Amino acid sequence: MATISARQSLRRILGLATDPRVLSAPVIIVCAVLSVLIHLAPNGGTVHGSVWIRIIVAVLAYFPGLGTIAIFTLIAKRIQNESVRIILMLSSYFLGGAMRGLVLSISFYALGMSESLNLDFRIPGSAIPFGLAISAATYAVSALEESKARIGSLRAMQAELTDAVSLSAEKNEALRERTISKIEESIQTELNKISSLKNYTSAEELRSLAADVVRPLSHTLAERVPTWQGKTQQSTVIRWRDILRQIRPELSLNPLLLTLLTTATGLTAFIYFFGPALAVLLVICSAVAMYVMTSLLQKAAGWLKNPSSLIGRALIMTLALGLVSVPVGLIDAIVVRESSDPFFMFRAGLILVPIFGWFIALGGAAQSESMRIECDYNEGIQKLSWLRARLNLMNWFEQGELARVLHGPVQSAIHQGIIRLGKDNGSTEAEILHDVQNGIEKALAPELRWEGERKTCQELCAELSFTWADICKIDFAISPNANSALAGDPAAASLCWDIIHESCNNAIQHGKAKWVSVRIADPTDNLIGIDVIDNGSQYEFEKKPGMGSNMFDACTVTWSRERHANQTALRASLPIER
Amino acid sequence: MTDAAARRADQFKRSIVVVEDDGFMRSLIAEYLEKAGFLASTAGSAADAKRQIKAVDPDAIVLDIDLGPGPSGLDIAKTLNINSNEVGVVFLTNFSDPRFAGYDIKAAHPNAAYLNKHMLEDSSVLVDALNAVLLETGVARYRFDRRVDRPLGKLSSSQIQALRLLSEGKTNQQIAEIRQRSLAATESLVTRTLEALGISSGADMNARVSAARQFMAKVSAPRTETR
Repeated sequence: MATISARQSLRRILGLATDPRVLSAPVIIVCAVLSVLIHLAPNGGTVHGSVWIRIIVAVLAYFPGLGTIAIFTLIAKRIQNESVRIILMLSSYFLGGAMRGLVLSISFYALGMSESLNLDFRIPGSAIPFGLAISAATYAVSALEESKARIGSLRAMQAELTDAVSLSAEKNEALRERTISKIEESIQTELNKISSLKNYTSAEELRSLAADVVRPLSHTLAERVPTWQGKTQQSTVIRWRDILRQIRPELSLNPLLLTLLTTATGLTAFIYFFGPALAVLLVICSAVAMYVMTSLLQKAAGWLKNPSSLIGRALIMTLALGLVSVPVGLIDAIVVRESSDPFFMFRAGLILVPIFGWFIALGGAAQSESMRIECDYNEGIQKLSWLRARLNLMNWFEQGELARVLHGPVQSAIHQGIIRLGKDNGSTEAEILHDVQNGIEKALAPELRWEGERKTCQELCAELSFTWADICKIDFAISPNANSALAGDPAAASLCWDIIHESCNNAIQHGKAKWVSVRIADPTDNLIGIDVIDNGSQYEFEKKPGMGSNMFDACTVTWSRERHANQTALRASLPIER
Repeated sequence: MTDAAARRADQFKRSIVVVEDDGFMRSLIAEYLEKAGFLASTAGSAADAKRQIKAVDPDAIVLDIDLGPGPSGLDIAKTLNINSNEVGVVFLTNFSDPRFAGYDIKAAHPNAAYLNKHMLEDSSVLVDALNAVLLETGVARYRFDRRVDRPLGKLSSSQIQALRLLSEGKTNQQIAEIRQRSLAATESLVTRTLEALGISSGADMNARVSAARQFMAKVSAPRTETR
């Protein structure tokens, strides 16, 4: 697993390093600066003359290389295979670096600042270090841009959820009005039916009953609908200051990357100045010394408490990177002690290692900062998703309860009154009307509704299992914690029951299932998960009557319905108040 | 009549199970049926109904759809339909039209009668409906949910569905997405629905508001928001 992860990580780094953002302004500016720094790094004294002219030539020499990279980028856009694209782009960096070397050679020779063209040194000596420098710069900028894009999409998702939550809140406001009018209209419909009664006075009394009792109660009922005001989300941008705050010495001290970049950069100089045999020895010594030193310093940096100030950390990091190059330079100096300038690698290392280290650190810091912001966003998105589902769930629950009360107990109470008024059963009209009033009051009063009638989810499942026992085996397992959590949250319990009821009905009726398994595990993080698995045949879920995917989308935090091994598994997580 | 004669007479009485969660209505219906010469037993929930059906092996059942929290009358009807279709079913409910609640009566029990509870003012309707389902003749006359004069009776199931979504404040685009139909087909459906309601589909939103108001005035079925 670790190998796969390391491979994926390297592939990701290479993907970012070969991103088309190599042609973006930040990368071009950084590469122009790097072109100068790499040229001014100790190079064996092959160029002499004014430093300013050398700087101008180094900057200008970068642009033919940039043109080469631009052509390759256009070609790479048409390539689908990612590996081929990476190889092509990396080749273009080295080719661009070689172009730079060629231009430098010709320019310095033409300007009389160099004794010879030195093409055999200048071209590979530019191709490898500059190619790697372009890769490092592109990696750092692409990592930052990619993080920005990811954060942008997270921000869009959060905005969408915020809108959804605000809309739900608005819907709840409208629901208050609708709830009241629904109650009034329903009662009025019932009252119209009794206008045919012989005793006009009784009908009038029932009408006044609606006005004096039902209406105030319906208002109380409507006030139970929750309200929530959506918060305006502040836009988030990744600021350089925040990225720099994330810089830590251990980020730059990446043993593998730093070793690869610096030894590859030194390779051409080793060959040119010391010959192939000694170059191999130098590469081995440099790589081992660099890797060991970087690893040790990375561990040491991990143990040390980083100073809170950015300048302090930047200094420590630069010192640490410089320190990495010291043993490498000293070992190389011992290897080439016979040469005219044994400390050439020591001086070059002091410049190149911190440059590469800083790029690695910047890329890493950008990723760290974006991960921090992403964590914040993800947390916010989770909270919003929960809130949206909860608002919709409460809305759905209140509507359902209300409609059921109006259709059941309220209508039953009025029907009873009508029937009793039409019959001679010994009760006075006043008694009948009083009973109707009590019936409606009990049905509509929030504190009296379903009093003593509320069954636990477990009891409801047991009834369902018993009802369908001859046709389908419904087994259910509800954890004690889930059962008590649902008992304390009637809205979640109601949705839970409806999901189970509908799923079982659909599985039996449409899927001809012979068994259904219902599982509700312990709630976690204000969420409760339901699994309903059946062995019924496949059917078109959306086209059957009952709860559609709309309700699942609205009232659950997550849900899925999958078909696997001749079984259908419906999984939903519901927001629960604990 | 002697005890033996009474027992013999009871033996040939048709047995009915009344499934109703409201105690008053339950005893009232049982009383009507006993007076009409049926042998009535009662149940207050789906589980009770299941036990009663096993115990008395009824000729027919009178079923309320909404039995409070737990399995509904439709569950009972479905199990009866799957197990044996010789038991007659009379739905006796407060819903004027089961389509409003998303219920599929035909799928639950194809030969059931469907009465509204306010019809109990005249007990003969229930008795006649029971006779119709038991003799399997003229059941259509007792399908109150199919009467043309029922609320929104002229509307098709698709139109009811569109109207329900419209009353929830959904746009044509949203209705099209939910119903998985094209926008053009949905616009046509909404226009036809408004026409069927006798509402002129003018340029403003008043037509939609009027339609929603009509729907809400005539319907307040459970869980209409989600179905």
